[in-house]
Amino acid sequence: MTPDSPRVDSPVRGLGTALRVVVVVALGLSVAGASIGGRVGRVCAAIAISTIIAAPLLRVVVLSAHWYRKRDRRYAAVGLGLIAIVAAGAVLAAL
Amino acid sequence: MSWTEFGLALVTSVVGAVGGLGGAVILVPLLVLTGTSARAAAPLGLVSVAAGSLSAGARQIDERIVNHRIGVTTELFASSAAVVGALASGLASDRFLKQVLALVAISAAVAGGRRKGVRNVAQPGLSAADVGEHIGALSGVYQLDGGYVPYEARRLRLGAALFAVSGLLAGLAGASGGFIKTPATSEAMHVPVRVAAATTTFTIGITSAAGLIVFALQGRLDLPTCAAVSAGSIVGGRIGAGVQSRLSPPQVRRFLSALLLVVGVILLVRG
Repeated sequence: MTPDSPRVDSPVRGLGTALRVVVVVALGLSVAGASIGGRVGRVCAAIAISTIIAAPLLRVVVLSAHWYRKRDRRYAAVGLGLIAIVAAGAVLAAL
Repeated sequence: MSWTEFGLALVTSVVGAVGGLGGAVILVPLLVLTGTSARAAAPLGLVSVAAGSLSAGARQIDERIVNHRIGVTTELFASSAAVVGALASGLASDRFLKQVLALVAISAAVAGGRRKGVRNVAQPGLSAADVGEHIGALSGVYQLDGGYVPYEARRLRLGAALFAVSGLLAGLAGASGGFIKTPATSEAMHVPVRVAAATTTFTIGITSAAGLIVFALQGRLDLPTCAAVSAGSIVGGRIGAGVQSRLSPPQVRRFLSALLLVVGVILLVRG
């Protein structure tokens, strides 16, 4: 590496562990949602699907915050722009 | 428990993870062939993609192989197109969606059959401390066979256009689009195939989330079936990742390509 070389970004602390926990929670809720009938089963399934939808979006939010702290504002803005696009899609679908 | 959907999701996620094409591109055509309508199969495909992406995420972060900046930048175009595709799929006929699905399956077969192996080489002077993505740039270094390989994304406009196509297909047909994204990142943008595949696994989760939100608001999610597909995909994704290290991916990809070709032709003929 030379002094002019690009700086290597450090990984976001705890992100891998958090994802492992989310996977276990999503799997447990998915099995419950698919196995248990009635209202409880539907609630478990709804939370499971909400979890797998929210996880990648929250990952982008966490990454954007991490990049902002590293003064990489261009990519922090790109990340938030991506979240804005997904939100706009939700609004369009709800109309 | 919807055992048929659970079993199909599990098997296709194992095979998809081993072959590097993603499970949904096999799952959705199989669901349609076993009697599910294309409109109902598309959300199940995206659930499978999202669950598989989530399942693989932690390990890929530990390996520091995902380039999140490349993923988020290209995903701007894929997610925009996925939203458009998901909105349009609510208006499209089942026959049209079947034809799109058939073309997706045949395209995936061709792409999978043509994919290349590793081509980048290690550079002396780099060490483990250099591994990771670079701040403020679409570049980085990854570890390969004891060496350290630098890379930099190129031809971003071409990559963005290809990502938009993959997002549109994901929204329309419920396939992950990974069979387009990985070659687009690798062949068009000159990112090493291992980094491209890992980054694609990250981005297909976002594309599917964007599409699933639209499907949920359209009332197209059958929750117990989605939960069965999610469970099957999480378990299948984990098994597939383990099996991947023991099998020859090119052989599996050729098998997958042949399978997808047959499925695509059947869908075209029956559509």
